Amino acid sequence: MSWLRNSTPAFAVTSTDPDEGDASLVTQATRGDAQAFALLYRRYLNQVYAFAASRLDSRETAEDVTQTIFLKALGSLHTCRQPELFAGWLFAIARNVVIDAQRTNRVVITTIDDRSELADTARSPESEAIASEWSRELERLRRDCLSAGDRELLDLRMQGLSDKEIAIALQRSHGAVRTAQYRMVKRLRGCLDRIRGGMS
Amino acid sequence: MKRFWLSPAADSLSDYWNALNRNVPAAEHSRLEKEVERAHVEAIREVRQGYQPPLPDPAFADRLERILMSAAAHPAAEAIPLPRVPILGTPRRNRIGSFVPQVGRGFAPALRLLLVLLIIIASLAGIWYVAGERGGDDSKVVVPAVTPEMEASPDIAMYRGNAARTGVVPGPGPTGAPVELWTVNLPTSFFWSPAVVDGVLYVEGGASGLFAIDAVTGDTLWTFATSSPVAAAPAVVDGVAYFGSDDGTLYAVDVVTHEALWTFPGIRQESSPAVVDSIVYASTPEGIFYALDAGTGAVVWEADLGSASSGAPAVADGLAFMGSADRKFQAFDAKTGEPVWTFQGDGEGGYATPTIANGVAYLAASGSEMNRFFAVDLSNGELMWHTEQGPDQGLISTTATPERL
Repeated sequence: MSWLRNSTPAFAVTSTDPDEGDASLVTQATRGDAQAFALLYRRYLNQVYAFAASRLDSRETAEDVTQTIFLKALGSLHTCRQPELFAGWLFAIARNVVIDAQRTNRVVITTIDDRSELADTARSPESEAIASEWSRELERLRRDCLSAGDRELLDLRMQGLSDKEIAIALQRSHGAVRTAQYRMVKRLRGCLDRIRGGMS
Repeated sequence: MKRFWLSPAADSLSDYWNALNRNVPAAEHSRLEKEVERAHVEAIREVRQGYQPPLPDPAFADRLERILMSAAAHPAAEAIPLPRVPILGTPRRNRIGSFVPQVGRGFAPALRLLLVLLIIIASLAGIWYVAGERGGDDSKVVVPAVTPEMEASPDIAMYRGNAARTGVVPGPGPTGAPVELWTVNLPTSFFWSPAVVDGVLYVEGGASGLFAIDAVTGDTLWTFATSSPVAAAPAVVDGVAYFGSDDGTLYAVDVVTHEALWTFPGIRQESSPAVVDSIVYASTPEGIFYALDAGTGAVVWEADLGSASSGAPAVADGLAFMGSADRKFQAFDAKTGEPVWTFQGDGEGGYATPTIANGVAYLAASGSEMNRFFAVDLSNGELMWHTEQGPDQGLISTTATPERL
């Protein structure tokens, strides 16, 4: 299981040219290469899980949703028309599955305190304290300063997606994503200044 | 024609953030960082710093990998275990007007039956309510219900919330006594509701043109000056604002560059455009109903209404609708412009903007002696029922919700 712990953090990608890597793997997987799909799974499991966990209220639900997302991806991989933007296609599936889970299970996006069981218990107490403090601040930012659309955009960026991939995930134009992103960062800046001012 | 020009700042920010997620050479990273406002670089850095996403349990990760490999090896998927928490499908809509959930295999049949019974009871209650409220001699009554156009979306892209003009907009509204967040003094009084897209309000600004206002702060972001006053609700779709001015010019303005992409002459300003599937629908005072290419302004089709147009166009269920001063209400194929049916109302005067919901077009018509309200069957243009009110009770466009009009 070393591949899981050694896998890159949420917002970094393994390859210097990840588009080419993904495209090649998707092509191979579409032709029946199970190991190619396994590599895609390992590459994106952490990000998909983190995206689902940020919107759901329990580890159990996040795991079930993650399983559904990858099963759907496996079953419909042949419909991925732009293998070089596989991440966008995958997160479009993730987004829809999470929305379905929220609607039907009446899941409410929770605060970080409610999501304590989702925290990574392998961290040291010190780093856990720092991470918890920053996570609380980030959660406050997301909740108080960002619209639902902004939060979704930020979360997809934090999972390492490019703007083109986010456009596919959100089914919006590339330009609209760039515009929305710019405004979101402006609002983030204003909010950070207010929060920092309140904390000083 | 390239329809979307980005501002350099938005471009640079996006390229920089893309690079953060890639192992680009340091020199390239520095170059991209220099192109971005310092405050924005720091904001992104602060958000990323210390971000610790929840990681999946290693046992789960292993188990899921085995499941996926088994599924890949056996496409018949006999061995795929069900998730512990059933993930239900999206609701299906039926003609009765209720939502029928697609229930997954994890739900007990008894619970499924109970859900269906509750929905039927709620629908019958709705029918009883509408039957009690209707007037006139017509017998057919249809319960308005949520259509795809009426589902809340994060934005309010055009007049009355959507192209079907249902008046349903995303909530929630303020609870209790509203608290004023900000006030903006515009140079003119305005009458039409703003479009709200991506956190920006687009508001008619009279002689000053179109205003774009930050919904959170109330700051005026930019204005677009026009040759004559703007007094109509804009439509904002895919980064372009469509709106008319008093001299009949229909503008298409890029909301990032603030430049006009194209203009079209002769449009009746009150015909607040509907934009659906890259087509802009608008009409002229003389009664020409246009469908224009949203990217270029080229005419896709046009139709002669036979009389001056009235109300704003509506688009729903593959049809484009337009009323006229001779009390006609006409339906056209939204893509081709082919006439589908015409409803002729009685009385004099045109219609307000129609409301399209669940297969019915609701039309309000004001007259000097009598105001009338019609419900027209979308499938064939036939009258289903109508009401009448005295001239002192003016009728304008209505809002359709699952419970009432």
